[in-house]
Amino acid sequence: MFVLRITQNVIQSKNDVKRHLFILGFLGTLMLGHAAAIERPWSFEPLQVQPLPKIKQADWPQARLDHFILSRMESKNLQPAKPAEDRVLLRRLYFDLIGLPPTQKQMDAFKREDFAKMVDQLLASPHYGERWGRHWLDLARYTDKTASWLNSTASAWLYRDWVVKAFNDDLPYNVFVKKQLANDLMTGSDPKDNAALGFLGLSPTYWKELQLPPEIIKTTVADEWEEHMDALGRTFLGLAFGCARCHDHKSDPVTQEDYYAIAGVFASVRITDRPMMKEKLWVPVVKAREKVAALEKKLAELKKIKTATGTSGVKAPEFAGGYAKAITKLKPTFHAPLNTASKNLTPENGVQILKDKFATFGSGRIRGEVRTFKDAYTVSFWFRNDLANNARPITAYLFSRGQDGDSRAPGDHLGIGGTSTQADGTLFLFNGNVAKGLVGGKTVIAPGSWNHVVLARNGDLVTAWLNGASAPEFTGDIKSTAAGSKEFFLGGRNDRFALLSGHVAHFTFFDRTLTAREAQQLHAASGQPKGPKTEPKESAKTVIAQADPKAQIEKATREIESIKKNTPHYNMPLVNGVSEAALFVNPAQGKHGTSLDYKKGEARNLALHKRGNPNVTGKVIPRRFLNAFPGKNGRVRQFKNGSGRLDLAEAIVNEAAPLAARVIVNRVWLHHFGHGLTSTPSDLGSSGESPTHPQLLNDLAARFVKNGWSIKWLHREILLSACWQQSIYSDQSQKLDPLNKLYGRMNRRRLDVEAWRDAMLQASGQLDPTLGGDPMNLESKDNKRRTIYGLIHRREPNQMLRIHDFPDPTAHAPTRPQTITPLQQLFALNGPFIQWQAEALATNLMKQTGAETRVNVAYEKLFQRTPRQTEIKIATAFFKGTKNDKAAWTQYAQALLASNEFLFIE
Amino acid sequence: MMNPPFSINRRSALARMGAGMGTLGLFNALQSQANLAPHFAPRAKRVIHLFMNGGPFGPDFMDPKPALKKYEGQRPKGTDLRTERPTGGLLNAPYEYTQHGQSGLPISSLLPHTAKFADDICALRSVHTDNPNHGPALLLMNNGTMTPKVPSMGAWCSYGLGTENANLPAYIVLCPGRPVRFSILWNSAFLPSKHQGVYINHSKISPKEMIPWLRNGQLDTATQRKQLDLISALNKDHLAAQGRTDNALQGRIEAMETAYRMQFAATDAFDIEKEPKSIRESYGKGHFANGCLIARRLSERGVRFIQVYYGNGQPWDTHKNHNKTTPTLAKNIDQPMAALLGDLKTRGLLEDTLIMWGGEFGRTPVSENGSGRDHNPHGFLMWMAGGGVKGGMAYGESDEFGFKAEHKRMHIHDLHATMLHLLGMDHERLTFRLSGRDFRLTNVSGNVVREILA
Repeated sequence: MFVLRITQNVIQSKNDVKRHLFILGFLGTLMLGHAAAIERPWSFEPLQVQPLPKIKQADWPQARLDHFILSRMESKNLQPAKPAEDRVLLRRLYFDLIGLPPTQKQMDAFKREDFAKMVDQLLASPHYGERWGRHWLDLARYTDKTASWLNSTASAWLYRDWVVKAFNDDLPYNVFVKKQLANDLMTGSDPKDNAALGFLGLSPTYWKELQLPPEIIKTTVADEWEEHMDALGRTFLGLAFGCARCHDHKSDPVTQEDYYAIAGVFASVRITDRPMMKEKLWVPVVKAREKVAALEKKLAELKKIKTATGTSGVKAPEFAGGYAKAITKLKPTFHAPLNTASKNLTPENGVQILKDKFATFGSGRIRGEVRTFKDAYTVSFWFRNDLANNARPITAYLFSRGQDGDSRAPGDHLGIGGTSTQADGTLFLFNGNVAKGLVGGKTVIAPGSWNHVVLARNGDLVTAWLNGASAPEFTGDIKSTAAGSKEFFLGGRNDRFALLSGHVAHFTFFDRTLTAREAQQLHAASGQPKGPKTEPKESAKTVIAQADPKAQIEKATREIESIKKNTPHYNMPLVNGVSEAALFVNPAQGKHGTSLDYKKGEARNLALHKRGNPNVTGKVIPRRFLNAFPGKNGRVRQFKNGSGRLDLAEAIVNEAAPLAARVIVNRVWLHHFGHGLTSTPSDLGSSGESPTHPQLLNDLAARFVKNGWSIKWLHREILLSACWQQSIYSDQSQKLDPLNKLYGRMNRRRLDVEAWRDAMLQASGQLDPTLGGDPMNLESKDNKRRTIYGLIHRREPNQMLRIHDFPDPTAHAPTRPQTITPLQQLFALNGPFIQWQAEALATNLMKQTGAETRVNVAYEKLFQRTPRQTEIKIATAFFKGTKNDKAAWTQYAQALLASNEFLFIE
Repeated sequence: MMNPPFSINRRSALARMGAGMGTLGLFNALQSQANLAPHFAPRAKRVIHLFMNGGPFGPDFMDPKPALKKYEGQRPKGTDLRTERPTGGLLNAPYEYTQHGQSGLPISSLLPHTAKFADDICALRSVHTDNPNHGPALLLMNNGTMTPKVPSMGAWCSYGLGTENANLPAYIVLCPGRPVRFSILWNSAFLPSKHQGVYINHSKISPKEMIPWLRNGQLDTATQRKQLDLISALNKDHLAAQGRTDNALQGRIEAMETAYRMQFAATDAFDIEKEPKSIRESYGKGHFANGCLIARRLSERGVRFIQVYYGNGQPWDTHKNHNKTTPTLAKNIDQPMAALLGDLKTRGLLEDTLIMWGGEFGRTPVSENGSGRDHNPHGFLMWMAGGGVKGGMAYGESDEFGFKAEHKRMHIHDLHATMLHLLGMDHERLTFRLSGRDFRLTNVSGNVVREILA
């Protein structure tokens, strides 16, 4: 950040000289003054269990921490607030620990004397990890999608699920830290835990245009190292390393040499997809995958030749004038004639949309997505397959609904059978490798002929009509397995299997099931005779002329299938991780440009970048830990093993344990109270805010380490305290201590967007509590899962998350601001999500008889209490004359969901 | 009902509390709702940034370079500057220049309409940036650094000055598609999220299609009002049951009302169909024309920072057929820009609306592929108008070929510093404290270019 980009800023004018001289002078002053001025920050001091301070009101404390809190309160003549009432306390506890409210039943069963048991019960819930894992993901700048240029095939969610599980298992925090930095280097660690490496593997990366000279690229690479340093320092140590890239830290004992000593670790790793198994077992898979990749490349080449020649003679059927108009009359979601680019469809590599003709396929698919994709839909299109029907296991997939790349292929896949199906060359529909439902027709589709197909789904019933015939080509019950996927593909399956060599025209999508009559109209309006449209002779010749590449294609295809089948673990998902490799930025061989050279298995020390400029280097700094934290022998730990990731991790949780423990204890405190013991949770150095209760933080952190770095232990310490169980009401504390730094009351907290959305789903009775797995788009109506499973994309942030203070995942986020803005209220008033929940809630309420019962049930579901008289009055006034009107109940339900009481916890 | 929306972003509060501010800030800040004040008297109240994404070539428009013709096809000394791709000989910019207005500012035949406003325009001929690649250059222009983790300039302005209209967002980005780097170019990063640009894809001009959740798809106005009254009654009852005031609860009750009004205010603001035919015609047709017209409507309504992106992707990125493409691009911007300037002037808005025109960098005078031009960070053209900027002048000079900024070089940091100055803010004092550092739009440099201040 603090860098002079001298590389490009070659000093060219007086102005520039002035600017640079100014900064030089400024930095010089800083460095000179450094050694003398810097004190060791409070947070670096060793941890020690503290003596309990004296207090007067001896019957108040319930836990050790209460003594520290009360003592400060008493010194300011402040009384603690009363304990919160049971209902309030239980709601607070539920939201704090699992991010969901209790049900009315759980509320009724709750007894104050069982509070400790209740805490244990919630800590044992798998939902606990979802709540607290998400807090961690804010720090780890978690994203589901990495930059497009990385070509990663890994599943980011494996890191998310690993974090969730680590919290659920109460993995000791020191181990939790180490695994995220170096699981692969730890002896005896489970390779499944390589998912933990996502902390590094999902780091933001910056585009490196290799046509540019190395001086510029070096800056970009150094920017990436700074990103990693920043995330590492702030997350685990509560130290801002960024400043030290250019100069010694102004206020903390972190020097520029310290910075490059640790940055050398990042210069010695490479972001890589990693398997969740021993490297040895993985080697054959890598080889197999390389082989398949080579074969696929060859296949693509072969098909290109074919398509190129194949297209020249192909003519589309001559459609009647007004065909497009006739299609539009049936009110499709969209119609893409495919004789020109369509905004609804995106061709992949190798697919061409030929102007005034059709789309031609050889080595790719066309991707589409629609806003609503329910299990009642219809597609219609013309296709021509150019491959022999016995060329390969499946001749071609024509239309496929399902998530891109999912090899289990849940969804609907319409294809032409090949050697692996019962009848070569006939149409079939398949619903994926798990459900394995199949229904097919009898008509053999002649290669080189144009055909029209309509595929319609209505719930589980699937029907296809071919070439305008009045009887369906096939019909049958095939379970829908698409689970709300809005993506679909033409000319290949969702996992790229069995790509079509051929052509498609006039694709139309309907978000409803067409009738048989409508399906026939789609053919009749084309003006084509019923039955297949055979091509003139010369086109048929084109097909035959390709016999040669075809045989090769078949062979390569078979080989690929066989490798995939015969290599154990071939489809094992990969995790976003790092591997050991030193990066050198060199001039490209020859001329113009840069080459990034990774030396596998090697490590490197960095030379200090003077004023942060990687092109003006100083002395080489061997990799080691911060000088401020020497080991027991008085010497600073040197990083000797490989990149030094494990050494670094060990140093963080051993030599720097006082700092690391204070940081995490303060974070947990923050999420229980709404603010931390220090208000700068990722800056515990001298430039951060001093803690309000340093002894308390010291005592709690010391005992946290003694208790095996157990986060669940820490929760119990806090939750069982009198301090945490206070009411939010205290006029005295409000008046004397408005910022509540003395904890003379509990803070009222606004729910974060995850808890708010999840609570709505629970209240509407729609919450799908399934744990883990693929992320799902939050805009989908079918997404009823907890918000932590919503898709997070750095470049395409979800609107709902963004406006509700969800952090930008391009950087570490220590806290979330709690804003209240009109845009958020637009979401509450008009957002489809809240309207869907209101509708579902209203449907449930309508099952009750009598307006008063319904209102009562609504309050139970949302607030776990009975309504006040005033609230009944408000409801009565609202329902005047509309008591049995479902629409009115939906509006009422939405009002309750949008209310303040539902958004704030006490 | 006229209270500003609930706000936590007092500069002073943030400077004090840093990133650690949680709920406490939320409660505390509500107690002081005074409008945010600039550091000194502003000359401009708002900015319209006309963004030619992809990067135009200055000598095509306001920086005449006869040497291009003289040495066409050759590589005289000074033309071997390093850019992204290999380049060849000089490529002529065959557009005739005329002096315009009282000032005689030379403007090429590509901008006949805009040229009528020569006396309002300040041509910046010596702007330069740091990186010849789109991503970093876009970030430097929009966010002030090349790494994607700091706030955009619009977010800084919103943070520093707040909004003039509680019923509309302070920062709006109009783009008929998606530029490279997309939302990072208008993000709020570590600033509170209310400062992020509200991205509007105005390729469809119906306001409902532009803004998420703007209108209720299910309820008519009367029913919705009734529902809002219900919410309000419930919230007030809830507040009364607390037995004391509470700023956060009160703040949300008010924000709800603001949102309700915003439905109509924003629908109205974005609805260019409401413009008289003559005005629509004066702007002409196309996305950019519509964008300029919406920008005028928004500036009338007090939106602080408006960006109009020329188009989807990077339409000005003419690596091939530069001289074939440029006249079309110029035609698409000329009439709308002139209409915008004229329209603002007629309404008395130009004097406190700063117009900024330009790309993320410029293009090379030397050719790429024979007919194209490569990216050029060494020197390029931008222009400003209105908002306290001296019109009818050219500032700075590029070299003989328009390749490199030579005299009075103006770095992007200087541009930002000057822009903030015009808005009444000292770029060194508009800061946000994070991790022990005061972050600012201009990083550690930037000088206000006083010569162009009116």
